[in-house]
Amino acid sequence: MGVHDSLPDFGSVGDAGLVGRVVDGILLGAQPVVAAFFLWRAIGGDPASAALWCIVALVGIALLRRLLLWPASRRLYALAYDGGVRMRRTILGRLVRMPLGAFRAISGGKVMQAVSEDVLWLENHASHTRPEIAVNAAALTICLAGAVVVWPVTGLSAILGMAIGLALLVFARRRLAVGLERRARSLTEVSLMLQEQAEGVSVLRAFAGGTDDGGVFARAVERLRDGAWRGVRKVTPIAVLFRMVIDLSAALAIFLAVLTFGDASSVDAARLAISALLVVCATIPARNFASLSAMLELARIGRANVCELLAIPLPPVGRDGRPEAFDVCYENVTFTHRGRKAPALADISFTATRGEMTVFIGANGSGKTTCMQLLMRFWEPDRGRILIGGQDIRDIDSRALASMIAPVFQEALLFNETIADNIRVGRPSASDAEVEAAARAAAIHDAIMRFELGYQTRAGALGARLSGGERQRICIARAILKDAPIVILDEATSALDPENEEAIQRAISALAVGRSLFVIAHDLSSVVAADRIVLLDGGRIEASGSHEALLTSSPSYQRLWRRSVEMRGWKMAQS
Amino acid sequence: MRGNETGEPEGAGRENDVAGKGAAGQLWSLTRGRRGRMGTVIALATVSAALETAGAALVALAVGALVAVDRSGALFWSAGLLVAVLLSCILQTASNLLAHRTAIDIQAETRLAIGRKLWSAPLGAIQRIDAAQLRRTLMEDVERIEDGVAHLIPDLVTALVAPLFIGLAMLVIDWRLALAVFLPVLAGFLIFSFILRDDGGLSARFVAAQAGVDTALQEAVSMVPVIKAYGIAPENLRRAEGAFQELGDVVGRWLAFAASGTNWFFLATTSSLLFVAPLGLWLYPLPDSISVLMFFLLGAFFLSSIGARLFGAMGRLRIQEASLSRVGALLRLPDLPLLESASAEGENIRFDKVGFSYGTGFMLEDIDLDIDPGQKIALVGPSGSGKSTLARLLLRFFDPDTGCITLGGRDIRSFAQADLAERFTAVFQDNFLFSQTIRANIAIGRPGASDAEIAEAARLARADDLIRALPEGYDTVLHRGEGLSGGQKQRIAIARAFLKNAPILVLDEAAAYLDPDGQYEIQAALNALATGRTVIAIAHRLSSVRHFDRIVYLEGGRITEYGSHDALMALDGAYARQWRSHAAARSFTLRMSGAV
Repeated sequence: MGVHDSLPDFGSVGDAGLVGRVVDGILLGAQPVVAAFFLWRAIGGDPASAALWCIVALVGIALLRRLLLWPASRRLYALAYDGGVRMRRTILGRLVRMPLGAFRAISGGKVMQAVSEDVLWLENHASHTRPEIAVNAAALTICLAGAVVVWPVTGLSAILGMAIGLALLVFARRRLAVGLERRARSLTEVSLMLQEQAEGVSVLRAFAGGTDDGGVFARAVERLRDGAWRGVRKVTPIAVLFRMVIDLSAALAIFLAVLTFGDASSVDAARLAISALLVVCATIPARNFASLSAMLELARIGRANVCELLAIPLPPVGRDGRPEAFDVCYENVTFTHRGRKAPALADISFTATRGEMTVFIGANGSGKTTCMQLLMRFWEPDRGRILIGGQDIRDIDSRALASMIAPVFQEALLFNETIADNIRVGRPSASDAEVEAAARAAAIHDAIMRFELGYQTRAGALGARLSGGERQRICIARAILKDAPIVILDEATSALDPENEEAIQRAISALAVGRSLFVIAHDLSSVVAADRIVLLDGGRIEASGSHEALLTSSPSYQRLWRRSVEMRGWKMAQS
Repeated sequence: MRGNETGEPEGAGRENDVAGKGAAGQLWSLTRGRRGRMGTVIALATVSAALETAGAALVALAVGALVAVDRSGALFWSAGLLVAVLLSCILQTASNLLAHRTAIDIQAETRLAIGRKLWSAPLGAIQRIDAAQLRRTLMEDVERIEDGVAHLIPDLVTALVAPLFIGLAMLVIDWRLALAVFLPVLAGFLIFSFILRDDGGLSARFVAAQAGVDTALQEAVSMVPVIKAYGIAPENLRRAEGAFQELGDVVGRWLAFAASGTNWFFLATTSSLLFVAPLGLWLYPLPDSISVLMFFLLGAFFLSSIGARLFGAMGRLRIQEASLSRVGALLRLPDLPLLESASAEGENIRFDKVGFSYGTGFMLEDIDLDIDPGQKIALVGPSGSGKSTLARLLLRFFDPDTGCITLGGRDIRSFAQADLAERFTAVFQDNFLFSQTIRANIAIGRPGASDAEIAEAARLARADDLIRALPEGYDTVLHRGEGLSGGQKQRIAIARAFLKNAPILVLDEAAAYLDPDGQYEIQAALNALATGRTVIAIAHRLSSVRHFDRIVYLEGGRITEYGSHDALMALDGAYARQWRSHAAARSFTLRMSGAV
């Protein structure tokens, strides 16, 4: 229930805008009723006065609608788009605050589906579907009610027929929605496959030489073709049947009325005629329900998806401010990824006092990255605790925690903004000179200046021209600018950018001064300078200590080190 | 107004205005080759619409007969009404299904055409398009064609033809009433187009603003780790906030401006009885002329529903616009040219005064280079010096702006792509693996390879053991290589290169350093791969280049030094300087390791 409270609403059912549209629907349906009424009055009466009053009534209705329609629909549009923006803000705020683990557990496609498609459908629901349902229902009711009053046989049989049609829609709407949803899903899946083909085109072209030999692309396209056709075959019969039932119910009502007419007077014949007019007029709003019910279903699905996203609990909020000291202490920390049996980290304990450099080494999957992610509270430990300056990080306010740590991730994530803005993420208040100084320290300044727009170049516009290493160095500049007491560095960095390894090492050394530096090392070049090396194996600390200490005490470390030295002497030999 | 889910690239709004009228034409041109089917679709839809109109006439005739106390006549006409409705629905269904079939086929063809373009256009031009944008065009933009072909074309045609039927019939019966029927609808259209005649690009801005919100959110979602770690408050996500505000602003303006036109239109088209009902009452004595009056009233009602449909169609046409122009732009990318072929002799590679620029500052200049078969060449130089570009030119990701590259004396631009690809094998920096089985990933260069050949290639690449250790071995489906370390991916990529077994190897060495565990195996595998082939290696670290036959030292897009390691050391230039500083750094670590 709480979820629905936090879902920004789009104006309640009793909203003035919606009420306005309902009245508009009534007036809309009233037009044929008014015409029918004066038609009736004209029979045997004075046609001129009927015509006069008819135009007065119709103009009156038009003016009233003019007054009503505008503010009502304006209000509904404003509510819808405003609500949409608020909903996207809410979702975004939620995504940013939820534990990264929970965020990662939702598939990327689903998140995107929620923030773009689903919200759009909800917006559409508020601005279009809901008011249209109200308008059409009102118009339909008025017309049919008029018909019943004038000639019950026509009116009642039309009501019966159309009710069957609408019932059909209600029963089929699941099928309709399932068809639409399944199609959307297959689209997402194949879409990723096609995107991959597009991204890997350099490999394909170098290896397969300009033909889709494996037929992967063509097969994906065929799957889409089949899926689309299946969807059409599923949805079309319902739509067709509905339309047929609606149109036929009016025609059949008229036929039945004529059939049961007997030998009544021509005045009665005129009444029947009027009822026929009204039931035919009723088919037009009735037909609209086919597309409206599909949109209603999509909005319902959208709402369910958004609610599911918002139902993910946020971690408890810490209240303490930034601690005075910045020693990092892990106490028996154990953490298991959701859905896995083996813990990613088991019983991790160590202390890093301020200014020390701690290096994590170990094979892929040994828990190096996870260990550091816990410090940033991307995940919550199952057991044990992590302290900074003696304070449990769970008690520290998330902003304050973020302000203490400057991480450089393995994936070099850049905003599609200017390079200057990307660096400035580290410290929004930094001056241009400070940004440049950070870039120089990260050995990226020269590369940036090669671009025509320099620091004002948008990262996204560069595409492949910004190498992995250059992206990484921009991220390092960001971390340097942040000037935080704790620095976390994923060293895949130097592997991607060997030409600048030395410059980067220098930058890192500069960054490390007076700070606690945590390095996730992918080769052993940086370990020699470390105060502490933590060798992880399968989530456990296998050995820990200084380089010299480990060389004497740990056989695994000795083996790793020997191999690394061997590698460095390795040549591209063809002996 | 359901906006759209397009990812509007920045600046696409500009094309919008120009092509504003062209969307219907563009859609129609997509049906080329399927005009027969589209003709049938349109004919069926038109007859169906005509039958709908006839329905109004039949109701009128039936009640007319009743009033004239002609019961059997009334029964006849009302039975006719049933038949007309039934027929109309059946024709509508047939038209609808055929239209969808056609649309779906056109979508598939368009996607295949884009696929072919990915293969035939210069790779550089394709890589310049953002991957997400490419996906959106391939999926969402093409997806939108279905609405265009299956709904918009028939809808537009019937919306234009049906009023013609009704109008003609009405004119024949009574031109005054006909005028009264058409007046409000025409007025609505006039007011609408008058108000929207120049919306100052507001509609385009509206669509762009919605797409902007979408793009900004996508970006924010992908940046969540940074946003969390740097404590960026959501309200400080400038792109997202900017996009929200832009949307709010545009909606505000749109409501203040375009909404009034829309409302007038809506009001006018739904007030179709306004003139015709009173005028009819005044002109025609009742109940005798009831059938005439009925026909006009029902006709007016149908007309207003067609007006509403046309209005919706116009909005959707506007959305088609942007999608069609993006698809068109992609399909219009020029293909790599194929020059007249001359015969090739041998595998000698020659760069002849090659110059190339990405168009924004960076360039290669005046590259002259001869590579003999079997030679091993290392491309060395600071990052950004042009090493990778040089290798890319050889693989024909781009064509040089000046000069030419020849293979066995024949311009590489005269080779068919497949012929050229046959001569090269490559190991790239990113080791791109597809979400297919490991077997399929290795066999990319030789789809017909047997299992034994694949396993042998993997063994040579020292990947066989690691693949067999996976639960499903060679049948393991990779999800973009997730769960494999950089080194493991690299070894699979090397296996791919082994299986292809081409005489020239283009190698980017950077990735060879990704994985401390596997480095030894990777080096050994690369050495084996290099044996007996011409090698052009992009070398990022000097430790590995010493034993190459020739070292090409690049700086600022030019070859500044060229020769064997010893020759370049003797030259005592930039290479020698770098080598010495590298050696110094290395001996430092080695000294440290002396403690072992």
